[in-house]
Amino acid sequence: MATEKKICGYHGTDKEYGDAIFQTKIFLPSQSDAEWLGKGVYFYIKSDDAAEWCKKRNYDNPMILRACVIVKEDEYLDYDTEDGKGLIRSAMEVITHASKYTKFGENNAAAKNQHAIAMVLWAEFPELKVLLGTFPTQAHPFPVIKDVRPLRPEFCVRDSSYLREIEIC
Amino acid sequence: MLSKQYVVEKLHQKLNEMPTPYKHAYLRKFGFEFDTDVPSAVKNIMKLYDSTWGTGGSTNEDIRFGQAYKEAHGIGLQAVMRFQSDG
Repeated sequence: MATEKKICGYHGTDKEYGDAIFQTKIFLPSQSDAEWLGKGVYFYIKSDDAAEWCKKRNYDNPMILRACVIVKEDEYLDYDTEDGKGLIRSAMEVITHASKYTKFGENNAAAKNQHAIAMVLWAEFPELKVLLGTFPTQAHPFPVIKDVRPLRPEFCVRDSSYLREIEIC
Repeated sequence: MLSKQYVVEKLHQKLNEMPTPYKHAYLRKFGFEFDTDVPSAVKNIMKLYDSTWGTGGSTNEDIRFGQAYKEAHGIGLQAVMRFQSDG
């Protein structure tokens, strides 16, 4: 039997949407081109991060939902593990090789390229259900080599149909 | 976790099978940012060859070589300019 992994997280939203999500069990996937793990449904691993997200968005009536996803070995990718980092580096090399003589942008292109890597993975690997990664919580005041920004772990699920145990916190 | 070998092989195969001019379009579709705007670069390449055709500035052999270069290395004015400066 294939090894399964259960990943649970917290999604912050406004109560109006949160109630609808809880009733329908449908989370609308984020469609922004700036999402670092691509288009999908986002969760923070820590509830405090979801609360902070609500605060930042100035929700009048914030609500936090918890949900879990169960994935088989080949249905997820964790950017934070050594294997995950190696996979992303290798995928970047393949993409770079294919786009010989063209640079991947120089002005603030990092976030868009980060999104694009995830979008390639979602498109080419339909078995993939979850992408996980830890990302900085804020922009750098100015560019430096050593990244000292606070980090928060999060994950993105392809769509709501994979989510289980949805509950209001 | 998804296997690195599987991901690399599948991506490599996908991109290798794709005709060169479509590789950038494929990557752009997913949101990769490039310095060179491909459609305008293509226009510039065509303009460049149109303007030099029959003027003594370019020969059929140059054009054939230029086209082969473009196909081998991807479309983009920078590539053609590099080809020209390389002689």
